[in-house]
Amino acid sequence: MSETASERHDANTDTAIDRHLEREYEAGWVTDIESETLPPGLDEDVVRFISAKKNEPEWMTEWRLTAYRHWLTMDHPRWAHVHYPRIDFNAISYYSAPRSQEDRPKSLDEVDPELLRTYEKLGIPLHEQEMLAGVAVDAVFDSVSVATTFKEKLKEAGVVFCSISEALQDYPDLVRQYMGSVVPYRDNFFAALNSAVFSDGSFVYIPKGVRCPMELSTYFRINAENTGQFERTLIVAEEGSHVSYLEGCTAPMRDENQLHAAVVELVAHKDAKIKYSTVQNWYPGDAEGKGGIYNFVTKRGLCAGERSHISWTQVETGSAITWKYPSVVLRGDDSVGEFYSVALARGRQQADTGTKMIHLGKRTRSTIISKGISAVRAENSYRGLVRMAPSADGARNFTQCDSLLIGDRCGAHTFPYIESRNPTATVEHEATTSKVSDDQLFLCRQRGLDPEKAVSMIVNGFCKEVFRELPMEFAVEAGKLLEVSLEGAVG
Amino acid sequence: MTMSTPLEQRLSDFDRLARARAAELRDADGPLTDLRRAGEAAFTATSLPGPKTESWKYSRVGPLLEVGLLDAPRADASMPDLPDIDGLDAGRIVIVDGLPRQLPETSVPGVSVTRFSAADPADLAGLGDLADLEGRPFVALNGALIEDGVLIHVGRGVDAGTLELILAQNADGAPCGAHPRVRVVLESGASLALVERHIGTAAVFANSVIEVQVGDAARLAHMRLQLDAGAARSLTALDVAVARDGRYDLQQALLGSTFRRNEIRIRCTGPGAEVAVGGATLTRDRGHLDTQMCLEHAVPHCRSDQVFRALAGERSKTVLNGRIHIHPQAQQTSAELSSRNLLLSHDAEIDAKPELEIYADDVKCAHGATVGRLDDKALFYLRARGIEEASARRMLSFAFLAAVVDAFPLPTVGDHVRSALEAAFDRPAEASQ
Repeated sequence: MSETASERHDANTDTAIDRHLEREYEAGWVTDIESETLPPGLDEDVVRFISAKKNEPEWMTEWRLTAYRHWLTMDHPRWAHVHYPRIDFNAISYYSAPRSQEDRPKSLDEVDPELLRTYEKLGIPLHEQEMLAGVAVDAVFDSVSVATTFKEKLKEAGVVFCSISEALQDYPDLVRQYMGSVVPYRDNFFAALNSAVFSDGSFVYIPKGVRCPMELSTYFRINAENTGQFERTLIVAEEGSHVSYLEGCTAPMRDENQLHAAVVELVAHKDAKIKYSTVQNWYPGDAEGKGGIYNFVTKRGLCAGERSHISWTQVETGSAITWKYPSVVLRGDDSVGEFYSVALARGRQQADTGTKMIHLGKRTRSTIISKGISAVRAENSYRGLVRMAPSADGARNFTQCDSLLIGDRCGAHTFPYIESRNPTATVEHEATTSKVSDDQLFLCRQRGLDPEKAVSMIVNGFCKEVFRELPMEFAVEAGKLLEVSLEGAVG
Repeated sequence: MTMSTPLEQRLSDFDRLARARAAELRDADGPLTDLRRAGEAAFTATSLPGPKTESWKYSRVGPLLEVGLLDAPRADASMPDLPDIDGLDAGRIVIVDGLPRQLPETSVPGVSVTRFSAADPADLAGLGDLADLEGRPFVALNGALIEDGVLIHVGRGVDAGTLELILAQNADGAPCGAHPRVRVVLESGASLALVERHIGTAAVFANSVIEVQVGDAARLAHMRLQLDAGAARSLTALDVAVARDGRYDLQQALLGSTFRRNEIRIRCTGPGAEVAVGGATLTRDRGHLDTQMCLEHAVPHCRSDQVFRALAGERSKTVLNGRIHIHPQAQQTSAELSSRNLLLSHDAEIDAKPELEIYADDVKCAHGATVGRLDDKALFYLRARGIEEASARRMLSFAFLAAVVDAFPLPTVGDHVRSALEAAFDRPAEASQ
C-alpha cells in the first residue's frame, strides 16, 4: 500500500474493514460419508473404469479414450491472467461416488440421512421443494446424482431431466447426437480432460413446443478430499421450447486445492429459448489464498435455429481461481445471445472470466454486461471475444464492462477482443474502471448508514443490471452473497 | 515429430541467417559494440513470433521472411526523391535503408543532431535503455544488426523548433534489411516538434527502433506519417518515457502496406506527465496495418488520452491493440482510449483489442471501441440534398477521421496529411485476384 493512498484512508474505517475481512468462510464443513474413490492417477484404465462403472455403451468409452489421447498431446493453457502452481494431474482421484450408489434410493426416504442433513445445511429444502419454490433439484453430491425430484411432473410435460449417466442408459441416441457437438473434446485442455473423465452431470431435453413447467435446478457440491469434479451438462431445447436452468454451488473448507473442470453444452433450436443462471460460491481459500477451488469451466451454447435465444447469467463470488467464459455461437438467423455477469473477487482470489459471442447468422444480436468487483488483493479480469463473421449481415453487439476497485492492492483488468469482418455489422464496446467514490460513501454515511451498509448499497447498485436478469430466488441469494462477501471491504 | 511446414522452415531459415549476420557484425569495433552484443544475445534467447504468439495473433510474419530481407544495405544506394511538405520549415534528417545520409546544419544553440558513429561515446550511454529487449525479437535484431543511427539532443530549456526525420528506402528498390535507430533526448524544459516520415513502396524490410526521452517539463510534438502504401515491410518500435510534468503528443497518419506494424510503448515516469496519442488510419487493397499500443502509468497524477480512427477497405486488415497499464502506485491517474473503426468493404477486417490492466484504485480509466459502417441516415441526409453517394461517403469518412487529422499540432502537416489521405482514398482499387 503506497503512503499517499493510505494517508487518505479513514483510520476508523480501516479497523472495521480488517475485522470483516478476517471472517471465515461460512459454508465450510466436511460431511463424513463413505466414498468409493479411485486412487489418484490418470491413465486409460482409469478412463475405462469410470466408463465401465457407469455401464456406458461402447461408443461412449471410445469417445472418452479418444479425448484422453488427445488431451495427452495438449499443453496446459497459460494465457489467462491468473497465477497458480502447476497442477499434478496424477495426484487427483478421478472417481468418487457416495457408497449408496449401487442400490439407488427409490425415493427421498431412502436417501442417506447424512446427505440430507448436508443439503439442509446448504439451505436446499429438498422435502419442501415441491411446496416452496416449484423447483426440481437434481442434487449432485460429488460426482453422482443421488436424488431427483419432480420427475413425474416433468414427465407429464415430456421434459427429460436426469443425470447424464441415466440419460446414457435411457436416451443414448440423444446423448450421442448432441454430446460434444457444441464443445468438442478438442476444444481446449480442460474440455478434453473433462471429456475423458467426466463423472456425471445433468441432462435436459425439452421437446418441441414445450414450455418447461418449472425452473430446473442443480446444486453441485464438492466433498471427498482430493477429488476433482468433472461435471458434464447437456441441455437441448427443441423448436419453440423454453427452459430456465439454475445452477448454484458451495463447498466445504479444506486445505488442498481442488480442481473443477466442468463442461456445459446448450443447444437451442428454432425459436427455442434457454436461460442458464449460475450462482457460484465455492471455497475461495483462506486469507493467504490457500486451499481454494480451481474452477476451470467450459460453457458454450449454440443458437442453432432461427430466432433462438440463449442467455447466460452468472454471479461468481467463490473459488480461488475462476477461468470461465460462457459463450454463444449465433448460427441461426435473428438469434440472440446474452451474457450478464457479476464477478466478485476478494482476498487472494483470481478471476479471469468473460464471454465469447460468435456471430454467424444474419441479424444476430448479442448483449454483454459484465460487472467486476475486486477487493483486498484479488485479481479480476474480464476477457471477451466478439466476432462478426463475413456472413453476419446486420448483426449487432453491445458490450458494457465495468470494474469496481475496493482497496489499493487489488487489480481489475479488461481484455476484450473485437473481430469484425462484416461492414453491415455493428460492434460497440465500452469499459470503465473506478473505485467506490469517497463522495458516494460520504453521502451515505452522512445519512446515518454505516460504512458496510453504504458499500453494500453502492455495490448492489453497481450490479443491478445483472441481478435484474436472475430468477427471483437467485436474485435474493446473489444479493445476500455479495453483502456477506463485501461488508466493510471499503478501500 | 511433425513435418516442417513452409512457415516453420522459413522462420528457421530467417533465424539462422539473422544469427549469421549478427555474428559478422559482432566484433566490429566502435561505440555500438555493446548494443550489438546485447541485441544478439536477446535475439538468440527469444524465438520469432509463430502462429501461437498472442501479441502477434493478427499479424503473420510471413512477408518479413522473404529472401533478401536480411541483406545488408548499401551505403552508396541511390537517394530517393523526397518531396517536401508544403510550408514546412524544418531541419531535415534523412536515413536511407537505416543509414544516416543527411543531417541538418543546426544553427540553434543547444540542439545537436549527430550520427552515432560520430558521437561522443558518453552521449550514447543511454542507448537501449528504453527499448526493452525482452520478448521483442525484432528490437533485439535491430540492435544486433545496427550499423549506425542518429542522436537528437535538445538542451535544457531550448526550443529546437521543427525537425523532419525521414526514414526512406533506396531508389533502386533493391530488397534489403534496414535497421534504422534514432534516439531523441529532450532535457528539462526543452521543446521540439518532430515530423517523422516513412517513405518508400518497395519490398524493403525496415525494422526501426526509436527511443524518446522527454525530460521534466519538456514538450515533444511528434507527428508520424506513413503515407506510402505498397510493398514495404515496415516494423517499428517506438519507446517513450515522459518525466515529471513533461508532455508528449503523438499524432499519426498511417496507410497500410504489405506488412506494417507499429509497436508503441509510452511510459509516464514522473508525476504530472501528460500524453496524447492520435491515429488516423486507412488501409486498402491487401494492405495490413497493426498498431500495438501500450501506455504505462508508473507514477501518480498523470493523464493520457488516446483517439484512434480507422477506415478499412477492399481486402485490407487493420489491427489495434490498445493497452493501458496502471501500476500499483499510480494513483490519481486519468486514462482514456477511444477506437472507432469503419469497414468499407465486405472483405476487409478490423480487429480491435482495447485492454485495461489496473492495479491502483483511485483512478479513472475508460476505453471504448466500435466497429461499424457509415450511418445510413447521414448518407441519406446528404443524398437528399443532391450529393452523389460517392461524394457523400467521402465527406462522411473524412469527417470521421477529422478528430485525429485536425489535432496535428502543425497545420501545414495536418494539411499534407489530409490531402495524402484523400488521394489514397480516391484512387481506384487494385484489380482483385
